[in-house]
Amino acid sequence: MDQAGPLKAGTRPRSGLKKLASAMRRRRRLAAGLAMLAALALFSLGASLVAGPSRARPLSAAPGLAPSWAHPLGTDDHGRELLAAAGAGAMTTIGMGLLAGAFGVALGAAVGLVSGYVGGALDAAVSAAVDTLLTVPGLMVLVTISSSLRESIGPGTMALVVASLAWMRPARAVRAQVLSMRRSAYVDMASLSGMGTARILALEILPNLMPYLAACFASAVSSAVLATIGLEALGLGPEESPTLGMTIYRAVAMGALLRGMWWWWAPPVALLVVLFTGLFLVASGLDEVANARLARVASPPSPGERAVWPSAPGALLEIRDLSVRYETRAGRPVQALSGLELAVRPGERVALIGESGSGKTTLARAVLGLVRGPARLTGGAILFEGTDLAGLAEDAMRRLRLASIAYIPQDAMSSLNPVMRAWDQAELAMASHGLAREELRERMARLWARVGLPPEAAKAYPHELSGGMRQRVCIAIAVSLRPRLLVADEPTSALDVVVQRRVLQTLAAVQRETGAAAILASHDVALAAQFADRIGVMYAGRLVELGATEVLLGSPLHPYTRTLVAAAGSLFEPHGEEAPSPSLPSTGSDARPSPAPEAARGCAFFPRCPFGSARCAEARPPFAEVAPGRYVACFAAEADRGPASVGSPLAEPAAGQKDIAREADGRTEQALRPPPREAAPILQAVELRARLRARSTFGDRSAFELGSVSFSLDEARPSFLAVAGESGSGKTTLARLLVGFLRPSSGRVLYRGRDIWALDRPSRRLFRREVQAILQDPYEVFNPFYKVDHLLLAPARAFGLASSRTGELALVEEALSQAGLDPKDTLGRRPWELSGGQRQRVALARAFLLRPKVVVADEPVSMVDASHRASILRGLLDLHRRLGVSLVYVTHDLATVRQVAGSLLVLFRGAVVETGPAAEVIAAPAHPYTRELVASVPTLEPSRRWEEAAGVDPNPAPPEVLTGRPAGCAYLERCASATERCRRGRPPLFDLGGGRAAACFLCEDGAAGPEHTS
Amino acid sequence: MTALYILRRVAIFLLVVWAAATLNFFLPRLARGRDPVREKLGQLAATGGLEQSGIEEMVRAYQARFGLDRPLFLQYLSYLADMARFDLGVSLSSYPARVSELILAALPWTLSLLVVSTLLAFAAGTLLGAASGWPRSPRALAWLMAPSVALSAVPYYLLGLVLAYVFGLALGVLPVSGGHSAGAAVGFSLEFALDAARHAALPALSVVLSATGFWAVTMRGCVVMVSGEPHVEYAEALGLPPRTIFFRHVLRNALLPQTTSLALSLGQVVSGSMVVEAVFAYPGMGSLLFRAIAVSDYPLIHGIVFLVIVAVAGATLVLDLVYPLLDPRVARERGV
Repeated sequence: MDQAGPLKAGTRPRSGLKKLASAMRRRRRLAAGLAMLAALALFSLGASLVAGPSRARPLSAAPGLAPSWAHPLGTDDHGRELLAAAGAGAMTTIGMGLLAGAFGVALGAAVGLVSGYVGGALDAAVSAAVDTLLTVPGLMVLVTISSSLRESIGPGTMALVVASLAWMRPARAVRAQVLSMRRSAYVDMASLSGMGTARILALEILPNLMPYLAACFASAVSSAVLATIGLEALGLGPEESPTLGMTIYRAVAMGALLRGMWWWWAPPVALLVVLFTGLFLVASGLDEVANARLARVASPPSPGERAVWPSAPGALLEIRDLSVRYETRAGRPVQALSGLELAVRPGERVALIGESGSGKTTLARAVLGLVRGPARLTGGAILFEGTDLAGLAEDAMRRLRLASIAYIPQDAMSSLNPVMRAWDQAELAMASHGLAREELRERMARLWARVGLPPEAAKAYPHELSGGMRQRVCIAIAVSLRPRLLVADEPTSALDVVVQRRVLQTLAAVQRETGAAAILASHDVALAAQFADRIGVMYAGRLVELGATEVLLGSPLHPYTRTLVAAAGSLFEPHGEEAPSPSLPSTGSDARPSPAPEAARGCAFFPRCPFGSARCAEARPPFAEVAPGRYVACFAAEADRGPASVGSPLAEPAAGQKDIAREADGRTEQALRPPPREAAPILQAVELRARLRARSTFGDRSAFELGSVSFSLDEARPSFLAVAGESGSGKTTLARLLVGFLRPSSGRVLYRGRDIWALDRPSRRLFRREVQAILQDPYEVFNPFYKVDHLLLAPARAFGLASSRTGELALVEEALSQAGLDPKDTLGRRPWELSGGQRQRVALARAFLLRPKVVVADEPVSMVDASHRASILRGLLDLHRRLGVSLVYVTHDLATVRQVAGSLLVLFRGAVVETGPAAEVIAAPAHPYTRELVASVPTLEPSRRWEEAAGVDPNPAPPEVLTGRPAGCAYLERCASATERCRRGRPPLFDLGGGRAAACFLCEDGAAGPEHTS
Repeated sequence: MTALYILRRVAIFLLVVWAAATLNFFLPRLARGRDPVREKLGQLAATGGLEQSGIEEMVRAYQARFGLDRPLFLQYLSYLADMARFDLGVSLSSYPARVSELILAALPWTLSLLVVSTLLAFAAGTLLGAASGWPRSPRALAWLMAPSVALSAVPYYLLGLVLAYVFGLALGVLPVSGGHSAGAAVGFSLEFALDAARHAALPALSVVLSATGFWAVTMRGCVVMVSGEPHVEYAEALGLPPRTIFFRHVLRNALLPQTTSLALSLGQVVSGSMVVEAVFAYPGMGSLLFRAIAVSDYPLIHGIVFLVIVAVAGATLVLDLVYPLLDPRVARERGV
């Protein structure tokens, strides 16, 4: 989720030369290669100058002389002075290589750029041709070409011949890069900023290609020289030129090998070896620059002597004062965990809540003994049934895994071996711990059915299973040897909300049956509430609060816990409490909860804490027991036991928050009613349909169809329309249709009454200006080549918002302030220096800057940490209220819908299943799918607790495998109330009155819909 | 593996073959003019091997004989028909020997050298690269890795020269030219096999030493990449023994990109080893090509080029068809 580095406040950029020097020290290969090439160049120049070209002519000296002071490299058969020949030859060979390489890269890059950017049929044809040509042995083609030419070619011609093939590899490499850049969010942003294709290519794509082009150039020169000497060795070289290859050829042809005249052929060979090695090092060094994956990071020093810890009776797992340190490549170590204390009893369920960077994953890894590499345990103990896992030998730890402590991973797709069948992996895991074949089979078969997997899934490969099924496989493996402890690291965060509920219910049931204890790490408070008996809250590598679920959530003590609980929101009321601050926090308090350097004093939450005092800045609050079983690490909370007392700002919700929510309720839903006659719709969807492509690369690309969708956004009375659905429902496709990134297969998108695909240039510009988007990934919207200001200045420039640079800058700064960021501190930064929340605020600022009429927000908060979500959503609401912007808010999270939206449109597999005012639809859903969706959203209300049930997976196959559109209702397979009629035809949207509609035959006569099914 | 996938691959193979044949037909004619016979006879006349008078009749006679007086397009069609039957024409320098005969004589030498050295290099390089990329392997292998990487940048040809000098002349332990000792009895005897092996040692070594480094570097990259993937960590979390993880998770998955890079570099390996043959006068297609170029024997040159292109395309096709057996994800691809 949130990925950010620590804010480098107040650092001055180092001088250019110093940066280069340290960069060189880190990239030894590149430096070595450049040094070799430089030495070679110096030698060639020197040799030519010293010896002089005239001496390279035949018979300028006596033939066949061995090396001497007069002739340092001797002479050849014809009396040619070999030092001069070597110098001249090196220059010629290198020159030919450079020429061919430059030509190859230039042409190849052009082909790759155009092909990758344009895409479609052209790209398919070009890439097929290039890939095919690359398999042909180039030297053979060159032989044909060379031998066909009239006699005596010069080096220039030779270089061109070689260049005719040298463009293909660069074309392939550049195309691959451009393809991935093309799909990136920052290119989308550039289109939205009104930049044309040429500008996008030049300003957005080309700068990021530079390292690849440099690496390509080095490789191209190398292949060109290789081809040249190959041709020369076969006798097809330029006759009269003293290139290195020709010198060798002549030497071998004249029998220099046999006659022992090593000085004739050995120096050119040596020079060529230096050339090739140098080019190889440069190319691979540049490759390293472009993808820094192979760089290794040094391990931190070992902790040394370990303390012995007494264990308390009855505890299954005791974590005592655990600390884990992590060396980063930048050199500053980061404390991933510090002083963690936790005890888990047998059979108990504990949830660890925290955002990214809180350390919960590190803790899960530590319990499994998987802390290695750049991370190291620096203190404390992990006592499992009395044994300290931290001091255990690797082999002993290995035996404990799965048999005693089992792991359930986050993303089963990448955790399962892609080339092994699901059953085989399960078998392999069990067999590794010594279970006999027959017993293994029997046990697995039982477990397989227990977790709800169909027998056919056994033979399947992971990519053939749906996400829910993969996770069930992992659950089955995890409990197969009856471990005493289950460690699940975000086991359902990769799943859709409906599947998530079923999988978690299954996990809970199976865990209860086997009697194992469970630790669930999650970022979702509401989800944890469904599952856990006790909840621990983690922040910046420490546990800040711990207690029984109901107590902790009912009256959270630590300010951070309060933030999380408030942010979890409620499905049935607009949420009241909010982290109180009248204005949105600036950069300092919005920093991500990143692990601080070890030497940091004071509470890690202090920068964001509304109750922080001087004491909090100086000393770290201890993790103290304030009530039986209740622990908090907070000075303020210690004094303030129980619910917030009178006078504390926490007692009252922030002023205006309830008003905002009430206003959201009171707003009339314009979007879904037909527009009144005098209305001026700014954006309309008219019976939109489009083909959905399945996102998976490895499944069948069978397409669903989105449609038909119709709604209208009015300029005079702006709406806040939420489009909700799971992945594969078509909501992102709808978003892309609305902003003109995708053409509908039928129906139209109308901008001010005109089809957006039929607009002339000035109207299209206006369209771009007035219809903007906020995209999902707050990181990808930034072009890594530029600083953060580029995202704002580019559209300001492209749309001509101000007449001068200073004017543009002023507008940008104002927009940033409106979005709650400090302009001085934000503009000069690189994207990775900001947190996810801050980055999304910059995207908000962009919307404030351009003042569009419509903003299409595609999952704007799904990749932002929970504690920042509320303020981003408030920003969207601000846009809507203050600037009168209509919002189309695409999301999968119904809880956020309730907090901001006026109207709601629910999608299922491309079909619109229900529409209406958001509050009403959620409170009393009419369509069976909406009911299931609402029931599956985890919330904190005790009345909405899930039961444990090991049910069957509702999604039997990944959506991409289902072919086409089955006749009948889209929801048919999953609907418990389906009738024959539902099978035969697809229900249209029936009007239910009051602005509501649902596509279900059971709602046909305006009834409230089928009985509640759970 | 879908039928469509196979069909696409075979179609691409045929396309390459056709393109190679066409290139071989048109390029020489475009560049040199359409009269190789006159040129050849002119050459012979210039070097004094033929009388000046009567050349025109000879030219016409030969043109009729070779069909060079027909329109270009018809010549092209009959050329394609010949190619399909592997009738590659007649050698000009070894007239009346047919090109296909000459190539067939050289083919076993090239094939044996190539197959053995490629297999050796691929196996050794893959194992070396895999071992060096897996953190649990012995330290000593790191020492082996560095010189391999260094050698991988050096062309086979140059390495061959150095080896020839060092082992052939300075130390005198291995022969530097020919496929077998002059006067040895050619046949399937152990003695001959050993003799041939001794002669093949230096050419093979030139290829193996350099190619091993290349494969080692790519394999190491693949292994490092795969080791960082989540399924390897999950396997560890499940308590699988390290060797099982290495072989069934890391190695097995790293072989996929490694096989792809094998398919992509076949052309270079073949080209390089042909040049090596030429240097060592090893009686394979490389030397044949070398001699053909020296005497401007165009039918032979084109014949060899065509055959090599077809052979490499065929090998690539085989690898393409084998790949889905290794990677189940590709088996369902829609054939691109």
